[in-house]
Amino acid sequence: MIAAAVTGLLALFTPQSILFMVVGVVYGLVIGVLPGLGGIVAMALVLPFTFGFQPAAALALLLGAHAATVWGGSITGILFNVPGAAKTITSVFDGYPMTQRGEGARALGASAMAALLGGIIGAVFLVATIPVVRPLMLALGPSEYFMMALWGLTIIATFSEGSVLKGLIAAGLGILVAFIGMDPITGTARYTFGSLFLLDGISFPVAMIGLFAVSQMLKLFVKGGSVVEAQADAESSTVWDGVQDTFRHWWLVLRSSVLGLWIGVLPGVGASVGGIAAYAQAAQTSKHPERFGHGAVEGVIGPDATLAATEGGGLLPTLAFGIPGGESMAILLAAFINMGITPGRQMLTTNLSLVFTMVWIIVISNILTTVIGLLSSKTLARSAKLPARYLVPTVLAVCFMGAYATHGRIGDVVVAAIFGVVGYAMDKYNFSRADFVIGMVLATMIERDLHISLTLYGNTFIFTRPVTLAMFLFILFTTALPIVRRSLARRRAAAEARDS
Amino acid sequence: MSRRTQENILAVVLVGILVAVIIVSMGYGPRSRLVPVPVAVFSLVLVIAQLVVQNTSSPDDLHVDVLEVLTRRSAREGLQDKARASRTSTATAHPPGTRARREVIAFVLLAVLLGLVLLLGPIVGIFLFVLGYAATIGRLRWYSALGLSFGVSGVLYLLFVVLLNTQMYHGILPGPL
Repeated sequence: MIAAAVTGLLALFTPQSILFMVVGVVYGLVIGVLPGLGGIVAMALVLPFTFGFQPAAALALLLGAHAATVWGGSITGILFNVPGAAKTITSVFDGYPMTQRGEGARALGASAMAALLGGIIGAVFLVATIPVVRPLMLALGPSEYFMMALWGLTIIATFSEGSVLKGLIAAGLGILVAFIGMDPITGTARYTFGSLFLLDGISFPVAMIGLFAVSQMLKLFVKGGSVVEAQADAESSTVWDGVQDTFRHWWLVLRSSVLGLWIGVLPGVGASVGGIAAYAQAAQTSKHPERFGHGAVEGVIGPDATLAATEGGGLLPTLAFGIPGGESMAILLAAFINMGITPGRQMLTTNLSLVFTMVWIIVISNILTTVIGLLSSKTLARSAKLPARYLVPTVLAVCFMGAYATHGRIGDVVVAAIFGVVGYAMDKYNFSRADFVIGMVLATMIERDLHISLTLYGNTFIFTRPVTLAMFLFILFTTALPIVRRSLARRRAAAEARDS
Repeated sequence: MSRRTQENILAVVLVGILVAVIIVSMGYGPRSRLVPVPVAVFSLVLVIAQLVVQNTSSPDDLHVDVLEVLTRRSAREGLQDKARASRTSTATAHPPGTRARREVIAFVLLAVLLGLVLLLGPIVGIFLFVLGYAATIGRLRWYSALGLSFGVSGVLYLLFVVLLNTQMYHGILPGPL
């Protein structure tokens, strides 16, 4: 194994591989910053350029680009409240409030360092868990994935108080919007009203561009000024503060990375769910959950560590079983086939050095991303003070172009504009856009896995599958726990009030 | 129009949409509507409950924080935060009439950009939009506006058309013209 690790590292020390990795990282950062164009688009666009090159160089370009998009997507989320991709949506929850109070550099520093540590921990855990994870993965079926999706939905209800109705309504609407298009189970066209364009459904990145980016620009136009309020504190933090925060919350980084690894390993779950789950666990386990949503640095650290760690996790099923852990891994699988590499058992035996090459690519590209990111953080943080008269037309132009480029369909630009207005209305009337997105992300998974579970295991599958039942009980436990905690806290507060 | 009236109109619109979804879904097969119908019915019940709540609560209760749903902050804490936020933003806040007018202008601007992109394609449409916006609303000097619009559309052209090789849409007008 050590020999394979050394061989894997040496394969990267060629001028071509190094150049490809640097190009991949810079390209990934640029793509990540553009709203709607995430790691999947980044990999899909460079895939044709990898043909004919050595596997190490081609993989350096692909994986380097993909790893860099994770942090690239967080930049715009933190600075402009515009997530670069679906999976970086959580960066707006606390990163943006930090920018608003003059701590943009700190948030970017924490985000970059968390992504670096998450990426490294994910890669190390990938190597360590290869022999352990395989039987565990084989034990999971569609009913367990259905339970995981349900757990994702309970996040909305679990942490809400007062606004639970609007949160759940938004999630319900998100689920229904995800059902527009061809039903993958029966082939029925749902809610398309005869439109061929709608048959493909509402594109997730396009909806995201509208809901967050376009609506944010509308809001900025109405408000005037800049993203950072004129009377808000001047930039009062440094990138170094964020780096220190990450090490101060090392336990959160470790937990989030392991969560990311696990989510990456599960085929089809995707990093979007990972980011939301990471945010929820960071809030759930924090000593100060009330700070979340107001610029808690833990809210930036947790999701970024998780997202970076999913890279390592996603490689495991892709390499070992030829089952892609997500859409980006499916593109990697296509690259393998073009290189003449067959995923499967032999990847963990005869081609083990290639696996280690990929592990090293993840580690090195994460380091490169962090170095470039930290060097540019201060400059990037200043961009939040750009006045609306420059920002609004520029970002709207990028949004429309990004929406069009996602699938090359002009109809997507119309969808982005419509979702922009919807997002503005949701923001104005306090319907959570985050919950809407959670609903959209989980809808397909819930429906697909419910149908497969019912067909395979019958109507009582929850009680006949032991792992499913255990997960179901876990969901009940995690749903009930905050309610019990809250009730105890109220009683304690009441008792204290009586005593005083 | 009061906040409560606006919220009521929105809730009624949502009721209409959800009822329509349920009616349309009933035309699909049992497997196709297995998940959408329960979700729509559940959402409908929630909207009706919201309608009742917002008409029986004080106006302050209508201001609900988005992130209360992902954190364990209580509604009271959320309201305190909002009060604090509204105090700090009073300096830049527009009066209600001005705000409504700016909202209308924002939607019109979005429609103009969409129209330009559909008619002339993304690159030309974006060039004209940025130029017009910078020169009129942005009040930039003509050479600055021209520079900004050339810069934005040029960078987008380089990035998407030259580097990413995106097949560009040329708009409805160039064909007949």
